[in-house]
Amino acid sequence: MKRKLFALAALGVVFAFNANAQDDADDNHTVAISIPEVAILDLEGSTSVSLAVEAPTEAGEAVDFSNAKDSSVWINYSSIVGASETSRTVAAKISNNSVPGGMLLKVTAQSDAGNGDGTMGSSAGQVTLTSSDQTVVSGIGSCYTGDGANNGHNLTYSLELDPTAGSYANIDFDDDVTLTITYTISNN
Amino acid sequence: MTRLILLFGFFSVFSIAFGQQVTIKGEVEFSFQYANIKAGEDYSLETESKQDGVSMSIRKLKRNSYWAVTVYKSDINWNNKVKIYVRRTNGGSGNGYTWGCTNYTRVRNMPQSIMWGAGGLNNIYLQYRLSGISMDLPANTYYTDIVYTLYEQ
Repeated sequence: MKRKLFALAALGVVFAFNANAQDDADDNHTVAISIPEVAILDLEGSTSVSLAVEAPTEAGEAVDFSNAKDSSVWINYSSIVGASETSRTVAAKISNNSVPGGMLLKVTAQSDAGNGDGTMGSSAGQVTLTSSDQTVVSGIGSCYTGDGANNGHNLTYSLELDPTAGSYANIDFDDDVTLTITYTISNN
Repeated sequence: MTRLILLFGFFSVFSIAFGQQVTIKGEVEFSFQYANIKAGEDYSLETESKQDGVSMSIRKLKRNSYWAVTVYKSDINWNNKVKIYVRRTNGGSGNGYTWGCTNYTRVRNMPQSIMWGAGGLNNIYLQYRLSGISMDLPANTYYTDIVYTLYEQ
């Protein structure tokens, strides 16, 4: 009996040594990265846009709106949405003064120029600007467009005759105005 | 019988108490601010931690012979677009010496040997570099555990 016990104890001692003979030990620490929410936007290119209606050259013709267009402004944005958010939109509105009578001011955001990365927004197509926010770009996720002109979404402004009957009568020669258009990026 | 049990206990405790040890001290947190970013810009794609933000010590070697250290990451909440690299910025202090890991090595989810040496060392400083940080990462706090394992040969 004693021999058996001794043998067992001896095996135990050998096991104790062997268990540590694997000769490894470990320790760890944590690396954390905090990415904040980001939503910043600016307009690049021209700081002012001038749209002019051309007078007719033949008596009896209407004024010509065909050249009352401008594509010199670009929207740039950087956006990081949270995991629980869906997306963001860019909205535009006339924040100062109003469009001359008989006319409409429209804006179209083109597709992103493709110089950034991430989930870019999609154009809402041509939008008639009013004093209320109108979505011009939607579905913006975590992305950046690139900074400066020729990056992001090119904006095309066009001044058009209001198709509502009788609008032509509201056009006024003296009706020169300077409008302020405000763009806002916001969560859905 | 009692003596045998005591003998067994003594050797067990002795063996555990004097097992080799790798100790890591310090935490690493990368925090990005967008105050200086212009609209349309991305984050800087690479960033480094402090040179002495994390220290590793190797002690209680059983045979005082050669050893190796492996590293891997165990993701808690991580984005695979972000790559993490580690290097040592000094040789530590003590009677031992080490080689390897002076250049950045990518830390993956599988263990890989990065550093070798002999003898005990204290305060081997570790520095981390991140790449792949970009605006297309959702806002969140991402975590991973970096696990170092010491093998004594």
